[in-house]
Amino acid sequence: MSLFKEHSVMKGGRSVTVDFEGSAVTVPAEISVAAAVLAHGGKDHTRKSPIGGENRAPFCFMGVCHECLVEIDGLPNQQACIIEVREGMKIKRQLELPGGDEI
Amino acid sequence: MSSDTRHDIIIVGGGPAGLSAAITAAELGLKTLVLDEQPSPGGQLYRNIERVASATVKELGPDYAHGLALVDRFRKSGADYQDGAVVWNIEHDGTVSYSQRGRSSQIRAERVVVAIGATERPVPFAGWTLPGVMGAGAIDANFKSSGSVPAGPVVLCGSGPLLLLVIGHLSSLGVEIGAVLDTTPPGNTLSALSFLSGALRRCDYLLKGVGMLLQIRKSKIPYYKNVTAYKAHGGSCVEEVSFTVKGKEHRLATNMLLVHEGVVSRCDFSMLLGLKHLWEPVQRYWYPQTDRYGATKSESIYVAGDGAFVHGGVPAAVKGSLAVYDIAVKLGKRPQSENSDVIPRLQKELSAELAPRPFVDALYRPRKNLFAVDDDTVVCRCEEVTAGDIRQAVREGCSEPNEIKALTRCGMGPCQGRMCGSALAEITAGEQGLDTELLQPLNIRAPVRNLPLMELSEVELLENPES
Repeated sequence: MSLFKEHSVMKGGRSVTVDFEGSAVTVPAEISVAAAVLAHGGKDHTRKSPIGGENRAPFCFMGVCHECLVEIDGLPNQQACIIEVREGMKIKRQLELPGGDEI
Repeated sequence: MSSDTRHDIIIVGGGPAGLSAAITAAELGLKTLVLDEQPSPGGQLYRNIERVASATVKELGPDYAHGLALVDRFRKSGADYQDGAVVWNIEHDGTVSYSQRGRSSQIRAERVVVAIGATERPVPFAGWTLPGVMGAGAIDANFKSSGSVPAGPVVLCGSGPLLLLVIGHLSSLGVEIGAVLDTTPPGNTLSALSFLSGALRRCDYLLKGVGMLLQIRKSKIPYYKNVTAYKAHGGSCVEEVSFTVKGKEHRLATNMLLVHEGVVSRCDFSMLLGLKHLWEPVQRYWYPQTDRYGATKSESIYVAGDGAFVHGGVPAAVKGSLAVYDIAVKLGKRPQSENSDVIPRLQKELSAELAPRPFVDALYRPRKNLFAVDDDTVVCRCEEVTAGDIRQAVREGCSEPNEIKALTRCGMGPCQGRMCGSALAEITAGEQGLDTELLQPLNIRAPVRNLPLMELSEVELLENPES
């Protein structure tokens, strides 16, 4: 289930295609990675808590809460709410413990 | 001497205060750099305004559209701008370290203006870690950055002018609002009345507020007043919210609960620098001690905008300019005498803007039991430390937030205490029957953002100016 849906298009109306967990997803250019996951990736969470394992989603959308941490192009713990999508960007939610174990 | 003298002034933050500071600095001939962690200028209030379609800017109303002119003036000002620049350290000598697209750099200027604004006050409650529970202002920020809105009906909960603004935005955007749960304490109206004369000096603001309330009433959105004890319930996502009105429990189904409990200064850097902070007793938050220009006890460091004290976006812009006029004189780039006209004018403008503030602050004063959360409620979202864990630590002899952090890991996760710091202090004070202002807020240390060790090891350090 998506938490968000598209309402309005940004100026220019361009789009880019990202690799979201192995699937090509076309999203508006210049939107945040968090918005791409939650409005276009069909998801309602961006990570699992590495402590208790529950689903987590962004709380603040302004770089404070760090609930939006995702893996971008192989680099973990990136703040999805302040980073923009780029053509070909590989986005993966953090659903595993750092060691690779399923939570 | 410093190896980097390209800029006279570095401004951290691209919101109203930072942009206004930059415009003024460039006009005064100072070499100016703005470091903004956002992808485009505007801060939170005017977030992404250059790229949001004109029709959408109109939908969000004049308070947002106001930012177009500011951003435009900034772009034409000649000030340098770095987007996606996440500052992770500021030092007393004006050295600023920041990460940009995976690489970290250091730069130095004679003066640094910290203009990092405010954030919604994080207040823990049962179920607040469930996906779908978010800040009300957060929803606004996300919309401006992406054009996306909540997929289904939302319930809004809390108190404060920003909550009304967000309700207005969501209504204009056609988002279905299931209910509004107003937690404003009933006694606030009476105590705010003593500040009414100030508010009447700015009838335009007062009428705007009344207009927003009337619009909500007219819209037939179910509106619950005197709400207490709200909780979010659900499995993998929020499904229901429960709350109490006059002793009666209510339950509403929703997949999105948007909460707002006021706005507080972001003190990341002023605290990192060890500057003195004061406690705002009405709205309950710490803010850095500055003079009327935003100068701190540290010669190189100024704080401007809501990060210095929460006054709102338009006053923040005035504060940004004030700081720079003072800096220009201090740097010998402008004779003191030239400030004698402009400073009183700006200060008059500021006080006119601030006239209604005591009324608004009293009207939306947080409820007394804001942090009286149940023991099993998670306070530190990152490390999953509960209110009970904090109270247990107090019973075991801890009296300060920093001790409790060391014992429980509360505030040690990726957000570095930004989400739990105020709750930790308030709960720790409450458990001891103390005023929160008597406690030391959590220590902040660099890097104030999470960085890969590899990036940290590859920073090109500036040479020490003393060496």
